[in-house]
Amino acid sequence: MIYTNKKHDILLIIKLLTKSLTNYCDSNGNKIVNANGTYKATDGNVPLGSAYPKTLWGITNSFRYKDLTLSVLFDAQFGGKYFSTSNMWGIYSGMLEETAGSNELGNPKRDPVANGGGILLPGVNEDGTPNTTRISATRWASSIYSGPAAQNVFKSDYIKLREITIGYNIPLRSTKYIKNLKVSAYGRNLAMFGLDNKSFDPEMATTSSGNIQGVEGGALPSTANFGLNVGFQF
Amino acid sequence: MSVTSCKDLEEINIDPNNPTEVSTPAILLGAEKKTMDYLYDTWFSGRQSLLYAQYWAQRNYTEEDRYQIRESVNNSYFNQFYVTAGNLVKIEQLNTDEATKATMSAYGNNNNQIAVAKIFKVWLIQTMADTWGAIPYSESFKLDEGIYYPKYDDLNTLYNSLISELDNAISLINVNETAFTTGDNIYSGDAAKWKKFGNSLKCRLAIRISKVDGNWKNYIEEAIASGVFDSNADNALFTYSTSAPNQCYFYKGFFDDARNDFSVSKPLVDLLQGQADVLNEKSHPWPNVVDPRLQIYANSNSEGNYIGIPYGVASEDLSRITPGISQTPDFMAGRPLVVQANFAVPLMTYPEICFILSEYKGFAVDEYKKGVQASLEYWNSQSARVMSSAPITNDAITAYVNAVSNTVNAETLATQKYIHLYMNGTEAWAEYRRTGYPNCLLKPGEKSTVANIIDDKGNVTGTEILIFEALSDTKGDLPARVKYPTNESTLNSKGFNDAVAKLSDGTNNYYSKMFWDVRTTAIPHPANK
Repeated sequence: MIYTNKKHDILLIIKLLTKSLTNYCDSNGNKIVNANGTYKATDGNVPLGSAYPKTLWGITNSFRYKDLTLSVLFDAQFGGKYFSTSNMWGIYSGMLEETAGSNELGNPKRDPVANGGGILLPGVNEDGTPNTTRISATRWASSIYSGPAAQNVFKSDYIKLREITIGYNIPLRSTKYIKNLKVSAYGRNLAMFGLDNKSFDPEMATTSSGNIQGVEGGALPSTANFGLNVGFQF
Repeated sequence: MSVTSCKDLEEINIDPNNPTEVSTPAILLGAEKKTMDYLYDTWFSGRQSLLYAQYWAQRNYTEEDRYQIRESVNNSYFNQFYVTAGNLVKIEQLNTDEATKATMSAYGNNNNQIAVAKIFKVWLIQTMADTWGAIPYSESFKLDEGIYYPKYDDLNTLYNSLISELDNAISLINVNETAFTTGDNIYSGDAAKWKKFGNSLKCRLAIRISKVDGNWKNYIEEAIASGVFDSNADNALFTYSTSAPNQCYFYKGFFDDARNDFSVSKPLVDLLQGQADVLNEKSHPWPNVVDPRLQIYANSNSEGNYIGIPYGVASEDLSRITPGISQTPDFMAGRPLVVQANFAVPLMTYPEICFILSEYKGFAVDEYKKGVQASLEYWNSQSARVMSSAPITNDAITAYVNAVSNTVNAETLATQKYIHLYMNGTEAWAEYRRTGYPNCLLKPGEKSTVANIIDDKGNVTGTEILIFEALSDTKGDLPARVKYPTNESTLNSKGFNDAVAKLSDGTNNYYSKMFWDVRTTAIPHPANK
């Protein structure tokens, strides 16, 4: 016999669906930094959003002009969030674009702080004064792993150009043997718009099954594919 | 068209593959092994307590050395320890409930079984309390009673409950009957040994509160009367095996995982070689006395020297320290005792009791010397058992004991105890927090090592001194505690929030001291009550 406490189980399920992780500490809408210049994390976990999107959209348009057909499909989702483990490790190890390039002084981020390099995180100290503590690029990258988990939480919103199909009904001189011949070309997953983090495709985070939802880790990038259809009708 | 029917739906819920009743020896062995696997591994020990005690330091990633924990590890281990403690409570229940106690008595005297489960549980809970501070206990393990959100017991209350529970357990023991016929990898079910361990553990709890609670001397007196360890034959150890998968988890962390992450630290090696910390102008209690245990604790480098890893160097600076990392003992190549598959991890040993009794008698010389000698004999015998080599001669033992016994006071006693406790990171770290010794431990802000300054072309243009910079705020000292796991804020928010509010500054920090840690900047080495 299995004993369950229904109310307890339902609360647990709600907790599982709402991602609770450590967050930034906030002061009047500004992020708080520690004395050493990295972002301060909350003591415990705080709900950061839902793994599931609030709305899913799709729109198909079909056009026809004489023997040419064109169909365009967009789909979109809005309102969900995901945690990116690839972002966390990608920055920690210095692989992602954000870890190189110039800082706000125009110097290479990876230069020593003493030479004008490093990063100044936007935010305030505990007492409310603006943050002036520069940190080295390695220190910043390491704090993406050890600091507030919210640093790696992104919106899973996207608008995707899912498919374009162009078709052409080949005009036949005689329909004795073949009644109809249609050729079409298609492209799928052609473009993504509106991504919170351009390095990762949020669809890779929310389509897994199992009880770990909304976490992306090592997902392969999505691929576009192209093809040709030829249809005969006898 | 067809019609079907079932005879009895409830039968479907009965699982024919897994047992619903388990014997207490099966639970005990599982709990013993799981606890040791999690406590003595390259995570809870390697990347935490062994680092805080500065026995080991990391060769590649020094974030944990510099007091930055991984939330996932903290969450997972807190959970695992409660699971194994819950299993020990189950053993007590099976031996108490009328429905099951008769069956379980086939495996040993019921009261003896309860006593063993209690003593082992108290040992585990104390280790957790010494790590995180106030934790749930009195309201824990009561899911059947509907208590899902146990309150965190104040630490002084928790210590008192642990001491009374030990008294209860010791009183239940009948030394003329078996404790467990099987399933006990620590004492093979020997009730008399468990009783000595229970009394010795009571002494460990007593000495911990010796700066704050005047009753500590009474507890030790009672324990002595009832019987504590009287030789290394009584040691509480969990011995692993050379056969897979029962090797020690230190071995697995190096050789199954194929990672060479740890070696001995410079503070420890310098202490064992009689070298004072000149960078920080510290003194050494026994200058130039070389400790014979060094050759057992670590292997030498290719030139036959022992050079420890400087503590607290930032990961990105490790490649330019001088002497270099390649000069430190390579545990993967040298395979010292402590990373061998059949290493025995310590719960509590006889030398520790000698040192406690010496302190109890006002830093008595006889017990101090017995402790030092017993420690050398213990490590030598472990080396003989595992490595087939006993490198410490009797003459060397006598010479060393004499060399370190000229002054027996709080510092020398605590320092010898620290040296003996190698590989028991939690106990060494706790005793540092209680006494402020040994002095050689490196604090944040102190000088760690000399390092080369290297230009763009890779040439060495000079040297500089690297300072140990902590990554979390520990107020200029070693951590006073590990912060509570973040999952607790979600799964037991009332308990968590109430407990955090009682910490210094009301935040889940690393510097809020345990009630038994009364060091101040003015008085870094408080006296006993």
